[in-house]
Amino acid sequence: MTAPATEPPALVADHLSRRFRGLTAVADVSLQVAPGARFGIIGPNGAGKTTLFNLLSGELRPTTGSVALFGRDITALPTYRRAALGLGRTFQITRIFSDLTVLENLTLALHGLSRTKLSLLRPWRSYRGMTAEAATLAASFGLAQRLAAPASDLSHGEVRELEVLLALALKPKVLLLDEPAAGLSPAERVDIQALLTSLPAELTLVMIEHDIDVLRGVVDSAAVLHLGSLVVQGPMRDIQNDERVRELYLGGAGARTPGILALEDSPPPGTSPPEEAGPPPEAGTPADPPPEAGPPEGGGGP
Amino acid sequence: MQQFVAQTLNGLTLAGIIFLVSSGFTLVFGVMRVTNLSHGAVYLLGGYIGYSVITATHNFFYGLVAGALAMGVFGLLLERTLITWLGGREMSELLATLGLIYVIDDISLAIWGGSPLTINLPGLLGRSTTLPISGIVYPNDRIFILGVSVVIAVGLYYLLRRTRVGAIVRAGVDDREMVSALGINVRLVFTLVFTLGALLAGFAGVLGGTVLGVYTGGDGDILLFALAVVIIGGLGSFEGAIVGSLIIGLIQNYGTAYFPAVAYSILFIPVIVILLVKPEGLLGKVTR
Amino acid sequence: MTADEKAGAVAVSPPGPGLPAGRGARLALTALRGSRRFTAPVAAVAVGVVLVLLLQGNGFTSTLVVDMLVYAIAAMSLDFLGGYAGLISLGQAGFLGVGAYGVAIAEVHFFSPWAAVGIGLGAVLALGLALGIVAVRTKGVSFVIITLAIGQVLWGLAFQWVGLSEGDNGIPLTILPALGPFDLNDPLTLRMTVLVVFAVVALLLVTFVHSPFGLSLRGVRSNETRLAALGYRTGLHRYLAWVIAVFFAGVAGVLYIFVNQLISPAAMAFSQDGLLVIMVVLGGLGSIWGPALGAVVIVLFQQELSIYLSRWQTLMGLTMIAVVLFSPGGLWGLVRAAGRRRDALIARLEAGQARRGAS
Repeated sequence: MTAPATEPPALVADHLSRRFRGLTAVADVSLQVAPGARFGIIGPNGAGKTTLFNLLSGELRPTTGSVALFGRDITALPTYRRAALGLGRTFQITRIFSDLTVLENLTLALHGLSRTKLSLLRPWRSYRGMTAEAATLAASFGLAQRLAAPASDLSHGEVRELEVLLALALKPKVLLLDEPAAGLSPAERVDIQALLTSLPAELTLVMIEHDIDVLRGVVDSAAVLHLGSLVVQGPMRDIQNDERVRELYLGGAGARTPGILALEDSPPPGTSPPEEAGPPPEAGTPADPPPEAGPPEGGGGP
Repeated sequence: MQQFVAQTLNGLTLAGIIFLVSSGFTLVFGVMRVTNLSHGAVYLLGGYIGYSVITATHNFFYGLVAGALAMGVFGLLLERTLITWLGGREMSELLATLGLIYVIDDISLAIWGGSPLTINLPGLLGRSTTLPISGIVYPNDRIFILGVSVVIAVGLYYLLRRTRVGAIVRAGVDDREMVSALGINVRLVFTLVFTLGALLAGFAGVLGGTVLGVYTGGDGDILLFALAVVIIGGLGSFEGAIVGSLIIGLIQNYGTAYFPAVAYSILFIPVIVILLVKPEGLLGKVTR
Repeated sequence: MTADEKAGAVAVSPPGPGLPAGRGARLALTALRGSRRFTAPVAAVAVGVVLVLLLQGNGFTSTLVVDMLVYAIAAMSLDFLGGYAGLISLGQAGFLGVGAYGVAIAEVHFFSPWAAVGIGLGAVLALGLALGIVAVRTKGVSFVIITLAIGQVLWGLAFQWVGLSEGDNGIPLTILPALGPFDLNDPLTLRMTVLVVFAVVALLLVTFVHSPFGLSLRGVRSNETRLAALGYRTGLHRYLAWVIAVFFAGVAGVLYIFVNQLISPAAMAFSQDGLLVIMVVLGGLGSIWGPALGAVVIVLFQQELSIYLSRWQTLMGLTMIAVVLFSPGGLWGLVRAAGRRRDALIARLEAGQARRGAS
């Protein structure tokens, strides 16, 4: 949005759509994220946010539309190639290697973009540089003591941290974070927020999140999704004051039936997982009092 | 030409037997995600039991009922014990049923010995009829198998598509958790499906015993056919089992008749083609 | 986690106040600590010595041990694929057969013994490279089914393509390779060679397992989609694991025909595929060494137990079921569990010593 004209945007979604046998999970979404931006993706549950991420990172192919990374069309590229080009991703339902230790988790990630991952004859522990880097990475986010622990032993907060660490190990240029604070206690949320704000400024962040505090602390601008379509995008302040957004979060709560939403938006089994029914969006989402105090319009939703 | 028609009918007969075995296997996988590798051994054991009953009573239908019921009970017991104890761990279920094959085969060997057995059919079934149009003389037992397979296929189709129980089973294939969330007794559905699968396999074993014989290794052969069917038709798909059985039965039969040197391996061609083109199977919907 | 890795992880409950200190406790502690350091190397040397001794004789025992070694190679390579990459193959015996038949058919067509070995291994490699493209398009249960089909088709070819394989009769092998004084036609040389090949294959597989590639396979088994998001071309990794496993099965096949001097379709029957999987699971899926142990046990079942118990296969099947139900880590898992209990005991003894020293 405010990026200099000469530099390509970090991430571009161009008229992205994804249909599953009659159900449209993402409908004609176009986004541009500038390099170094802190961009949020928000919307009620079932809005298609994770599906959008799956399209961006390569887990799903779009029905129509394209994805570009720093000006390069990556729509046809599989996930591992996008990772090599600098696109990192975390998952809403954490995907760590739970039967491996934390050290092994990080080592796997560190080898990810290196030829050494196909090396057959040297023990992986002998790559001292990698091991040191894994230890540093873990230490920077408080997991130094847990290196030898199996990942299944970690607390939920630690798992979420590891989830982010794995993505960071690849030194991505663009990082997609899918609800990094989901299910965390208030104390853990503070930790996660600290982790997120400490990320390098050159790193472009795109984050799906419901927690307004985490969002406010990290994100400059955002896009709001509803039922697969883009409602509005812009700086956070504009979004918080936007009528349509307030309707979504405040007004329509009674008029929308979550069950219908879930049915419409859940893809068939075997494809991307339906969005976790996370905590409902907080009623107090707009930070500033509405300019006109009027009753929220009921029936704003379908 | 007459030869070709006869071979086609043979292929269809084989397809019928294969369908009876593979439909049970695919439904059990679809609903329960259980890969029951001992399904072939159940088929064989049904055949052995049928053989003994028919030899003792000289009545084919007693044998059919005995084979089917005995295997139905076996399936019921197996589901309630081993399958339940394994608690839904897919690989463990596969490995445990692999071990079970050796148990069933060895006990069958102890009881019936290692020589191949043929079920000799008394009376009408032991004879042949001249078919209309083509004028072929075709064995009655094969005509019976063809007829019974079609009837059962139609019956199962009706059961799955038109009854409430069938709807529950189909829903279970699509989304087990949802079915459970709807308050339906999933455990009961599991037991019923598994028992039905075993019953069909035992029934097929007696039928197969007439045209294919009852022999050591028959379990491996039929299991391979059933697995080829579910790859082609799609794991969990009943209609896929029908289509797959037709393909496999006909190909296997034509292969044996016209290309005996590589008949067994010809089966592989449609399997590879499907894997390259549409890995989830022609009508597959379940992703493992 | 694999049996191996479970033991390595620090997951021991705290020792608490520990056991009372005293001379007995100190002695016990020294002994246990010593056993921890020396068990593995001493056991390895002891096993090596026992093997060499057993192979010296010219009787039933040496044949038994050689059989165990050959199957161990096939089983360990199967574990590399199944226990580490999570791809359990029910067709491994088929590739063992291809290796053996390759050698036999080559000699029938007047190739020299060494060339025959090359042809046998080459055939396995070619087949593995080709079939791998199809096989790695599937995972989990579907992979098991596909490999079962592949194994059966290979068996079917051996059985029915009589022109090539001489069908059910099999093909005998009379001439084994020789290189100067090193003559495999001499039984003792042959047996020692089998031992050496086993040791080499085992060491290679252990090295592979501890390499970054081995780690990547465990990542594939653990969470393949995440691994892809980390930049790994997971299909390639699975393919390579397949080729490696299949090739070593072929190596086992070459040794098989040398040792048995005959190959017939029976060696490739489904029961043989199942036997190899049972060896792996019984020994310990994902432990690399466990399957060797499993091979020992199963060969003993087959050759020794069968003398006393006609229904040994029933017992074997029941054992398999029991292992799957109660001890998924197999025999190796039990060994490792004992090791962990020893570590826990040491920790408690040390805690007791520390308390005594502190007071």
